[in-house]
Amino acid sequence: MPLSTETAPTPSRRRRVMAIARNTFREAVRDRVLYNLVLFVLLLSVSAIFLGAASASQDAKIIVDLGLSAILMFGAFIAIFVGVGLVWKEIERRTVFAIFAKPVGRGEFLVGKYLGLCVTLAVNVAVMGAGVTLVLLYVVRGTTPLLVALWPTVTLIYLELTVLTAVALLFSAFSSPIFAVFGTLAVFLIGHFSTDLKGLAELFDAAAVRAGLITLYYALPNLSTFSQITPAAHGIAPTPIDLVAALGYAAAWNITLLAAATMLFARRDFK
Amino acid sequence: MTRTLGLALLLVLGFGASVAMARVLDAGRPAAQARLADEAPYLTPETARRLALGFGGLAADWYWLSALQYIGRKIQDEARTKHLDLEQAIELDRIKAVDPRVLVRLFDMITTLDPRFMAVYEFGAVVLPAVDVKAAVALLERGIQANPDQWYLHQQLAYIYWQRGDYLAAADAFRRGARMTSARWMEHMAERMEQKGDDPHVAQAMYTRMYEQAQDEQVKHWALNRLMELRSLRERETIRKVLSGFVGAKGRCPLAWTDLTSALREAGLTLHPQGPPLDPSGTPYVLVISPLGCDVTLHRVSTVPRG
Repeated sequence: MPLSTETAPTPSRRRRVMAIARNTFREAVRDRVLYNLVLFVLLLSVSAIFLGAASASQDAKIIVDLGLSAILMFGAFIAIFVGVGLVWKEIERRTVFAIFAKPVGRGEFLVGKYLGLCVTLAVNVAVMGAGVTLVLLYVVRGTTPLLVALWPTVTLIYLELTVLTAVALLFSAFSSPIFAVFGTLAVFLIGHFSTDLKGLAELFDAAAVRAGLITLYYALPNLSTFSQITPAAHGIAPTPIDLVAALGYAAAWNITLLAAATMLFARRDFK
Repeated sequence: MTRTLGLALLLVLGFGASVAMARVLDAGRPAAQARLADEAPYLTPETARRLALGFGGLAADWYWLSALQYIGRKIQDEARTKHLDLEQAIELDRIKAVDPRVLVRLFDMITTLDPRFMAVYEFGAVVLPAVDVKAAVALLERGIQANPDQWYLHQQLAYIYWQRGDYLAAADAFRRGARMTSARWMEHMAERMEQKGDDPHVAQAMYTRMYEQAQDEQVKHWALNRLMELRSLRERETIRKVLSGFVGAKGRCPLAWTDLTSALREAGLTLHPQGPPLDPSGTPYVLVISPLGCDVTLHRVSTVPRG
């Protein structure tokens, strides 16, 4: 009787991506990425105690400004530094060879890593958002219109972080970690200035310069789209249309960036 | 073990030395720090807005706290030089010691970073006119432009004009605000401004509205102080009439408040159980008897502003 070798059925693409995402999340937890939450809680608690006396009845506004800005700042740091390390660490430790020896595509690997970090950021942002809500409730000792604006704004911040993670992944797909950190940081900074690029273009008569600036404006994600922290501190929430538009904009950029990252990563030589 | 202890000792000694050195160095710094604290922000508001990235609101809060600290320091200085309690020294609309360039720049910075920061306009309308009326008007006009739905800012602008005696401009500001709200009182205030802007009843109405509408606790407190001052002025006028009635009838000043108890009560004043009338802060008025005659004045511990 001939011997037959039975191989385990290859998991579907979705399962493979989810397995990588799960591992990425676990690794982030193991690497104590969520420890930043302790710092965040300390920052907010101390602010809540001292601002009441120092801010002339503006403590609720300042708590929202501070809390949301901290969510963005902490999130951006995680997206940039952890995002850049996602691919680099696997290459550095040579684990990338073990992964690609299995039936895992390079694109699946990148998308899995991306989703894993997005889940980490979601947990981070949700816990911080809950922290801001609690501190705000403590400061106002009741309800306030600021609470209505809080969570839609937190959602926008999260969308911005998903784009930033995709940018970090794109840079780390083809370059060194240092270059990737600087590149992502530059996109974060220019992304918040990009509305000015468009305004600047209108000041130039030369068509070539104008076209160059306009091209740059569209070639970079306009991160100010997701920046609604200042209005939120006055109880002004983004409208559902704003949220849907921002979601569409973030999705478009994430797909573009991940596609570009996959293309570049496919050509990367790990030797 | 010995090595660990040695290192721990080094750590403690090193830290102690660094603290001691910091104290020595700080001793030579206070003058420089005070000078720095009175400097206007280096960046232009527009540059700061650009550099703030998504954190404009937070940067505005930072400058707001700086502005409050700056004003607070000036009030403390004033309290020290005039030997007043801090409570007595807080007269937001009469702080002359602030440098208008610093304050205007700080307020410009805050409202450029966060044009919806209402407390700044409210605060600016009260504090700035003492040192720079034009800048106060410009701040409020800018606030109105950035917040066209806030009729309350028109009232603040009207206050600035009213305070400098420009009653027609105040009436105009009230009318502009009246067009944005169904509240009839703004139109009514505009009419009163045009008829008799310097009437004490107009002042009473103005400060009452400022008190009712204020979102900032310090501005609320200030408006309440002004209302106390107005009430005390009326009370002192009444007491002077009672005193003059007593002098007319007896040919001499009263020896104590108890000589006037029934007359003061009839005039509607609140009296202390031992006789003296109480000012709006609950402190007894002082009866002043001199060779020139008799008068009433505020007690030195009274928190009623002295004007």
